[in-house]
Amino acid sequence: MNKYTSIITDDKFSLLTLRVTEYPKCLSHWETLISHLITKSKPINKALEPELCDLIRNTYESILFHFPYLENYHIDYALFEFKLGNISKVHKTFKQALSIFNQRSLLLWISYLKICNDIILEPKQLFKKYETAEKYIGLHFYSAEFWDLYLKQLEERCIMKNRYFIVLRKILEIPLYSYSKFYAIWLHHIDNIKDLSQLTYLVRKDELLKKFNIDVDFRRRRGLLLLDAKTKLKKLTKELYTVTQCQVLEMFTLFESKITTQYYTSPENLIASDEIVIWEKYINYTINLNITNLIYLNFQRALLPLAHYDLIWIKYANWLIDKENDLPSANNILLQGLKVSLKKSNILKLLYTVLLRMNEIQKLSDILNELEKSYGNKIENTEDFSLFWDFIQFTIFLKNTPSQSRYSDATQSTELLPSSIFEKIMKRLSYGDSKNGQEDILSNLIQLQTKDNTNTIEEEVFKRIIASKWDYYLNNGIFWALYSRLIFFDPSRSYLEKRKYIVSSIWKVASDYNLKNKISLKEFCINYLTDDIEIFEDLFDIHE
Amino acid sequence: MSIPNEAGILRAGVDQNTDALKGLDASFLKENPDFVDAYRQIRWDDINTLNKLIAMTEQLVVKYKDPNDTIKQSIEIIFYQILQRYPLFFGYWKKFTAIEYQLYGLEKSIATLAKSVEAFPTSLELWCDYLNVLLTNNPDEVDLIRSNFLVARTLVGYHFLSHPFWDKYIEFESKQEQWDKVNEIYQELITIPLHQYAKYCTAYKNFLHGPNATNAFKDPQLEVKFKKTYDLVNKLWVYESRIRQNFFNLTPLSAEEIQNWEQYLNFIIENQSILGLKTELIKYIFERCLIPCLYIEKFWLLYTQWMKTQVNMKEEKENESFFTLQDVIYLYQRGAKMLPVQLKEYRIDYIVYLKTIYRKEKEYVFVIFTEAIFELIQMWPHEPRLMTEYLILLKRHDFPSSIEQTSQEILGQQTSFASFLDSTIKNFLSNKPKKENPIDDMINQSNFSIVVVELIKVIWLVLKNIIQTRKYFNYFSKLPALKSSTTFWSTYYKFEKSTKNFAKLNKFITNLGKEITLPTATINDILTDYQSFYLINSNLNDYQTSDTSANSNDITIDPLLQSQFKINDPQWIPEKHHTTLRSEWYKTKQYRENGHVGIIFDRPYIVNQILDRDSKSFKNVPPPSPICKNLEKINHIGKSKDIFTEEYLNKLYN
Repeated sequence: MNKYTSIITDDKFSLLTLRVTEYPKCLSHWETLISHLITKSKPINKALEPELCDLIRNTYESILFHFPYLENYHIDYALFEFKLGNISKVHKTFKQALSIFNQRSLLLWISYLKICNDIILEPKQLFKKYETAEKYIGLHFYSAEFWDLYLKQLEERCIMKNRYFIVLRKILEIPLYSYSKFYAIWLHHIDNIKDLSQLTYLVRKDELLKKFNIDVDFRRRRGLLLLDAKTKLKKLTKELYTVTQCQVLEMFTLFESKITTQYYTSPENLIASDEIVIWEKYINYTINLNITNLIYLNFQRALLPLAHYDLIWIKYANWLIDKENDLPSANNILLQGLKVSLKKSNILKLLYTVLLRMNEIQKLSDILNELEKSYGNKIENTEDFSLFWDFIQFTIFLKNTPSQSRYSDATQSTELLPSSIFEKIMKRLSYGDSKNGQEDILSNLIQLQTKDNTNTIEEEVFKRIIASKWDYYLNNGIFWALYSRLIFFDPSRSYLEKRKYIVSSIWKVASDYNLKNKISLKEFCINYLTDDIEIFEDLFDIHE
Repeated sequence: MSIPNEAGILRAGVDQNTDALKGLDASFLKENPDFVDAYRQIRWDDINTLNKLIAMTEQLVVKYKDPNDTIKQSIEIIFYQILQRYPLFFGYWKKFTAIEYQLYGLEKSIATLAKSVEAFPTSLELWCDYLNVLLTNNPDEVDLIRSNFLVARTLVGYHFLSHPFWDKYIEFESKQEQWDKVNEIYQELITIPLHQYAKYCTAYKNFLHGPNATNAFKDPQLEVKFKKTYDLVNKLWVYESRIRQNFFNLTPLSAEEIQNWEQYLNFIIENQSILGLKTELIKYIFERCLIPCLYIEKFWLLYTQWMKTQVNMKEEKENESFFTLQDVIYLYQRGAKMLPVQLKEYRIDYIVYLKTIYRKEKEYVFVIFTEAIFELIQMWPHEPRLMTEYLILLKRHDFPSSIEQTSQEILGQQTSFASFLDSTIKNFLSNKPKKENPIDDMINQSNFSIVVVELIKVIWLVLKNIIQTRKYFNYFSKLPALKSSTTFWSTYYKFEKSTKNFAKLNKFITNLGKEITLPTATINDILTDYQSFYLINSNLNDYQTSDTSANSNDITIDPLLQSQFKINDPQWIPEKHHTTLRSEWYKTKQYRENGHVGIIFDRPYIVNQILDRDSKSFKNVPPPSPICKNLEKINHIGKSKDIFTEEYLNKLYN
């Protein structure tokens, strides 16, 4: 019996696979399964049975499908391929993984580069990878390990030292947790300079002459000049150190030291609200530092631990829209967020708006349709009021657009809203107190009032609710206040008509019910029908 | 009680702003630097400075045996200034009386005592002093004395410790051999829960068995009454025994003391009918409470609430009550005057009360209401709600209409109301208030918008004159006083929504937070509402054309996408309109306060920073050497910006 057969016929395997099928969003079940497979398959090398390889691959793929932000499993997966000797798969796996993190994963890059050091012989090709990594994660507060790797490769693979010193000089400015270590290296190099000519690795020749007053081509005794140059360089280094140190301390004390979860965990792990606040403040802080690359990076960092919270996705998208004027990226971020965030409504709303601004009407329409379908075409049943109402609002908006005939119904002037939408709204209203936001719906419906549709609104909304005897509204002062308001703001009625109508047709009816929120109706009376306060007080028995 | 007034000081009052030292000659001022200092450095909320001033003033009387009229006058002014502000300082009244005696003699000092009981009518001590002085010095004026005893009896007779008063009273009537009166006094006295009630039981029994009692005095219920009073005293003693400070002071009362009063008052209110407590007794306990607790709002509220239920009970049961509507109003007026100005609940409660009783006595209540609103606007000029309340009642009172009337009559009233509002606004803007219009004295920069909005509402929604409405909006929106009026702008917003004028609405939300400065919460609400309104009423074509980002320097906020950036950040403008250069970024407030809002810290920075450049971009040439700035500031402590004082308090008071 080969390994593969023994594994899949094993009871434990059945149990573990059953569990992950039953609870696919439970990370620990997946972890048990993969470690079971790996343990049973040892040693992992080129000789591993192809069926078993595929089984492990598929398991990794499944884990990463459910938990795409688990950096370490991407790495494990790539290392697994590495052990099997599939170099091209290693590259592919890392590249795919990096794209999930918008190229900004320190952990992935470090692991990837470590492998690249071994498998890429051509220096140019290797340094290209380092340069890409530098762009994306070079400013990471904990990127010292990356820079170590980079410097080491530059040292080993380059004959010319120029690039090495440029990189080192750049690192000195980056606020890193281990910043001082690079200053030590830098100072060590200064100490080791034996000749004036070596100074040009650190400072430009023209600057040496102008600012340091040192001519590297000086032909006579160069020792004293070199000493002078070193003193000046050290002074400059000290200044730079002061700046970087100050920056590092600020970042560390205010934010970094308070962040305990750096990586993605799982939907089951809640993040302490203090920590969420810290991330928010850290992001604001980064934005105010105005270093664009760092802003992108810190957003990406925050996305991992906070992936299931809508606020971080929205904050990122807002920043992209507001500061970078980059609607397509905002769109992408929102789509990513939509997949993982537990609360969708706010992300959806922003996404709708972005799509409108980008004039991506078809996409917007698709998303709205998709959303409706995901509720079995009964979106009115959702518990999330804003999700429902945004859906309605944006659908109305699209249907309001006359020239876009594909999306507009032939709305007749007598109809308040296209009946498909209107019936959804009325259905939602019929749920009464079992759903929230009902008063908001009513007051939004009133906002549809024009100079000649008051009767329609009255008939189709208010009278229909009264005829349907929906107690939730009939016993609610807000309903009657909104009804009174509708009539009072009817441009086609005279003041006397509306006043008489409100008092004798609305209030009289309302007074038969045992109203809660009476105060809303009273406020309407005080604001608009001051003269009828006494009638109001008598009708609703509001006395001292 | 006519009072001679040699010093020429008005009885009714001395202006608090009068300089009491004015007119004193220079040598006197020089001789008494401590006295001058004590007066000049008085702090009205600090009892020590008051005590010091009183002590210094007393010393003057000792020092100068026969001071001239100017000095005498100064001394009197000082006392009046203090006692008008704090009439409950009975100790000061006593000192004042003594000084008046020394300066002017007996008659003036008696007059001062008479004033003291007028100013502080529930003071047992002052009444006893006053009656004592009358009894000693004017023993023959029996009627005067008796009438004062009668007044005092209603005012302080129910004080738990009022035995000195009753002793004096009985002694007085006994001396006059008015045995009927003595009996009548005892009859009431034995029902009052007094600390020394037992003494009076015995005394009354002795009196009844004595030679001056007649058969008519016999009372079969006597023992029952004694027993009842005994029980009551025991119940009240629980609370009475815990009262440590029964006098007024400027230092805050201890929490235990306040709690005791609260428990005491709740106990008597709850047990009023069970124990058959007399209304006078409860009233007097409230009055006593309000001596040490003068500045504590909840006791005023409790007192008024209780008094109101007494009035209502009268209405329900149609029997005589101790209190009338007027009594409640007087009480409200007293409390509204006494309580520290920042306390609003009691005063708002007063306004609500007047509104609810308006229908009962329209004329009277309207006058009182007008006065009350006037007083409150003086007190809280920045509370526009008061004007709203006033206009509502004013409309009901001066321009009422009923749906039973003819349309001509109704519209006539509405039109008159509109012209009244219009002329009020004109008077205000031209700074020509009319004496006969109380509203002209109430209108100010903060509540002016309320009148404007009321006018616009009438023109727009009642008289339905859209052209005139728009004219008014145009005209008033330019006035600085309305730039930050929530009422005005939310009415404008409603109006433009009703006309569905999206160009105007877009402009309006763009101006929010810039030209129009409303509270952030209000702006947030408007922006959120507008987004909804826009979605269900506008369409894509309009939206696409509303995008002005491509052209012009005019900022117009896009109602769907950009408007949300203004939420919680009303001064937000699109990035492309920011004028700060990248190289100047370190000068901005955001940068300098970064990480610690409100504290400016000029952190060191690198002018020619390279950290965001790819190292490859340098080719093989070293980067320029760094230029560091602000290194010397590294040890500076960040300057904290006190926004509250600078932006708010200073503006408010300057």
